[in-house]
Amino acid sequence: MQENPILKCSNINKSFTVRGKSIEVLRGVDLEVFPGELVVIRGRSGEGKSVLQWILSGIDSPDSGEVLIEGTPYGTLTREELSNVRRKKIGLIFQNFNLIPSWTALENVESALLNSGMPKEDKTARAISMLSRMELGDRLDNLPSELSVGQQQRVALARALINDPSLIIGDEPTGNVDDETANDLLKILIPYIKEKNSAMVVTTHGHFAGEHLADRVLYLRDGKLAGFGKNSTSST
Amino acid sequence: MRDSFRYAWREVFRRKRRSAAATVSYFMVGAVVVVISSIAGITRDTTQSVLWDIGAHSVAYIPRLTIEGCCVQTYATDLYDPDREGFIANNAPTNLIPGNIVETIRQSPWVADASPYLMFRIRSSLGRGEWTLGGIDLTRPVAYSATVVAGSQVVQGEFIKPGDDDLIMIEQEFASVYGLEPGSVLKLGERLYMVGAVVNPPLRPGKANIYMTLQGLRDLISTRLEVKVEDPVNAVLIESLGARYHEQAWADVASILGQTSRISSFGCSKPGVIVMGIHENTAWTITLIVVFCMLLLAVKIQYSSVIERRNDIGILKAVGWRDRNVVSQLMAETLLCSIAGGVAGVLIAIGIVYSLPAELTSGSNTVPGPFILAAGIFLPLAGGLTAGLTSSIKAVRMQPADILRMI
Repeated sequence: MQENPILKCSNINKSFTVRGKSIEVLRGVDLEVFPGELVVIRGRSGEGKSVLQWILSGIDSPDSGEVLIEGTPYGTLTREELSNVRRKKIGLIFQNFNLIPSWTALENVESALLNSGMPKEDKTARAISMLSRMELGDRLDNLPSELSVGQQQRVALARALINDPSLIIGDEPTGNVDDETANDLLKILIPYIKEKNSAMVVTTHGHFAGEHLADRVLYLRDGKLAGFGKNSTSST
Repeated sequence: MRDSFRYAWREVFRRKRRSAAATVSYFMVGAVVVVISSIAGITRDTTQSVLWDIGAHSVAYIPRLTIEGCCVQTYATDLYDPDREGFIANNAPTNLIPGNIVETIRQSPWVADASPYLMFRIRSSLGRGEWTLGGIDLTRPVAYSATVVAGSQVVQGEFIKPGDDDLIMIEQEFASVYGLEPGSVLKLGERLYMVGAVVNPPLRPGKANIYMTLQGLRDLISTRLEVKVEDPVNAVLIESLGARYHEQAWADVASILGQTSRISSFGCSKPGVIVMGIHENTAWTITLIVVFCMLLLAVKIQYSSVIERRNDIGILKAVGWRDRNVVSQLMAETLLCSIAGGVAGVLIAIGIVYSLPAELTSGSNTVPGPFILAAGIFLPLAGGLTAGLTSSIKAVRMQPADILRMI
């Protein structure tokens, strides 16, 4: 018997109005992501990958349709509950990292633990441990501008993983780094997913370095998701 | 909340330029409020110090033609010559008033001071006519200075002191008419008095030709009337608490002396009070306008700061910060900047106000009052918090996706 999905979305629709004209970005997207799974969603620029990613992570809402994380529909949650879900269950990795420029590497990672009620010492120890795992133990007090692109990406990764999320959502997580750095990241990410039995959804417009490791590769075209390539399996 | 303050503290120091700009703006709010309010207050106080005493002086007496009144004594008044000599005030014959009434008048809450006064008309010893003599209680300068004569109005010689019962002071015109000067001797009744000073008081309710001590005049009158005059006086010099309270003082005096009493005064307290009111209103209006403008400035500063941090807010919300976490973080930063700026502004403003040129302050107390100082700290704080709260609430209501789309 198959496990329950960590993430399930059904019939997601989203459109934007630009200069009075309605543009349908997502049209009836269905997706299920199971524990331990790495799902890659490919699509050309402007196809709505980021919009889908934000809807899946609960930072944007669909016009219609339903998203459930571990069986809980986003639509039934208050803003505060949704924030808690994002903090505890979802790890976000942005294409351009989105680190707070005036905060150190340690503070950026700690930011995902702030206001969680955890004692300060524990938060700091946990953030240091995570950064050490990313081989950044000696760059704790550096600002993002003082780190290389690869190091910034690892800080963003540490921030995404600090709360042991059950779902990691990455927007071109290796898009801005060289192959070697991308491989280094994957060496951390893939074992983590397997070890924690969590899941990862990656969106990419080109080649994702870990695509060969993906359980499924889906293609976003004309606002719809479809199975594609050798690793693809039907999601619905 | 502790996390918010910890990170706010770091943020303030990390983003030095932005924090400095916000703090300087709050500094400006605090400093301008204190300086402008203080200057407005000094202007008002200076004006009031000039106007306060205007019309606050009067002489109360009971005209002779009436016989009513709680305190009329007639034993002495029956002895005077109504055609030539006797007790007068405001050129009218008067009744006598027991001396202890003066103390009762002095107890009125609207009266700054009151003193006994004797005014007596005596025949000239240098030809036809009469002279008016004023007997002053020299221990009560507050009461006599503005109603009769003040030490600053001495033209020649020295102002008489308590116990100088054989000395007199004469009005400048009187001295000129009779060719008198300090050291001259003048016969009053049967006694000779030396001129101690020539004085030139302006028009006063208790104006006389010749001034002497109260006891000196009592002695002279006793000799003149051949009756010992010890206690009674025929007028009371009154200095009310200020122009604004002059009418209340009059009412109290009338209730003590009786409705037949009369009060001679400049009558200019009313316009003085009106002008004081205009100045006070102007000062408050200026202060309110400044406070309002500064508050708007604080709101604008804080709003700009929050807008500038919109990206950070979007990122933090995306990684799971709750709305109240974002608000408390922004509020903590605002609190730190506004308190630091407000306190610094107030301290500098105290220095500025303290070092204002004396010509501007007319020697008034230039240290801002506690109310103004509190306002100097509270307004930037209140402005910052109000602006911070409204703008951060607006910021957290935005979907993080909308913010991230713009990064």
